[in-house]
Amino acid sequence: MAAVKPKRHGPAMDMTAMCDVAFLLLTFFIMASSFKSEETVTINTPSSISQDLIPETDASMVSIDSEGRYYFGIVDPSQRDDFAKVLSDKYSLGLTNKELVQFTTLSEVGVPMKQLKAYINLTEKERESYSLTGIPLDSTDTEMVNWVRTFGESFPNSTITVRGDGSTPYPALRNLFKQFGAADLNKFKLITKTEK
Amino acid sequence: MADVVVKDSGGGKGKPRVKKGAGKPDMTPMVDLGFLLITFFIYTTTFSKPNTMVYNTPKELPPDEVVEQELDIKVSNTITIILGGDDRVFWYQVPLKEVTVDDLVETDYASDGIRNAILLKKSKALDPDSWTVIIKPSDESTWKNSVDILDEMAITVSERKAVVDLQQVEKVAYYAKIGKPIPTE
Repeated sequence: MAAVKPKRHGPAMDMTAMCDVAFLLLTFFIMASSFKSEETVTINTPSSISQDLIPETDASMVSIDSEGRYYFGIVDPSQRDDFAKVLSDKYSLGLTNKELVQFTTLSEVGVPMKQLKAYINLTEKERESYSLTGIPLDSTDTEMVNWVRTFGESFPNSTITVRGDGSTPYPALRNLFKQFGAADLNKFKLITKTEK
Repeated sequence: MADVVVKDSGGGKGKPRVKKGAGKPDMTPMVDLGFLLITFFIYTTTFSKPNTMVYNTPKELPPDEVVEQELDIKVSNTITIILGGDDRVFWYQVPLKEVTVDDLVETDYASDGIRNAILLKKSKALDPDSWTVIIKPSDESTWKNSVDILDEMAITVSERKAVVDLQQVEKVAYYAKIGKPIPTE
């Protein structure tokens, strides 16, 4: 005679505590986060013991990749459209309002001013495959200095931060400090990682 | 799984039923959603902000205003560090014009390498107030090398420092040391 099996229930777990923890963490991450901008170029900065954090606003960022190409970026996304407006007026680039808004999504620009309008209008996919030339900075063409100057004019008291890839050959940096020095820009902040 | 207990509403007639508890809502989907959002936020967050190092370059004067400054820095108060290629680093402590291949001492970026050399020479400096470190990155050195050395300046509290290019006499010594011909520009 078959015994009557008692009806089995699956083990029940009280999810309330777990749910509390999950949402607590979620709240924390929402508060502590700032969204990443679209990265144009991957730069692996060297590390240092310095304790100063990067300024959140009023900072322009000159990046140098391992090939020695120069990029210009602005740390605070909310300052990017104001800067683009000034740049566009000063050098008559003819950027529309829509393009100015689009500019705020770029963490750094790696094309000369003349190509900026066309570059902004590319889709995200097209931008990935776009061959970046970097912003010119040599004895014949110091366009990068104009970018930094324009930023300095739109935001007085701004700082220049320099973000170089660890494997960049030194002459690319020597050239940068030389050209900026010639333009009377002598104060920099070097961006580094925290020492592990 | 926690089940929602549905209240039995089997008509108003009959014996009064035992009153059942309000029941627990199933939290599982809510937890799922919570963790999904956490994962999303972790991935999209720039979590640690990079830090910065102050670096000021000397003001460039127009050629007619350059005054030959009589720099009275005794050799014993200085150390010159040459940053070579392939993460090699050399130092010397002799007058610039007299430097030869034998004066270059090779060391490394480890904490008992260049740092010890700087600290040793600093402790022997005749006038610690005018202790000066001269950093000379060669064309083959990388940006990481320069930042590492600037970092050592902060660690060894060497506030007077100068980053300058290699002179011809140092190039001769340096390239002889690493056994390579001097590159022609």
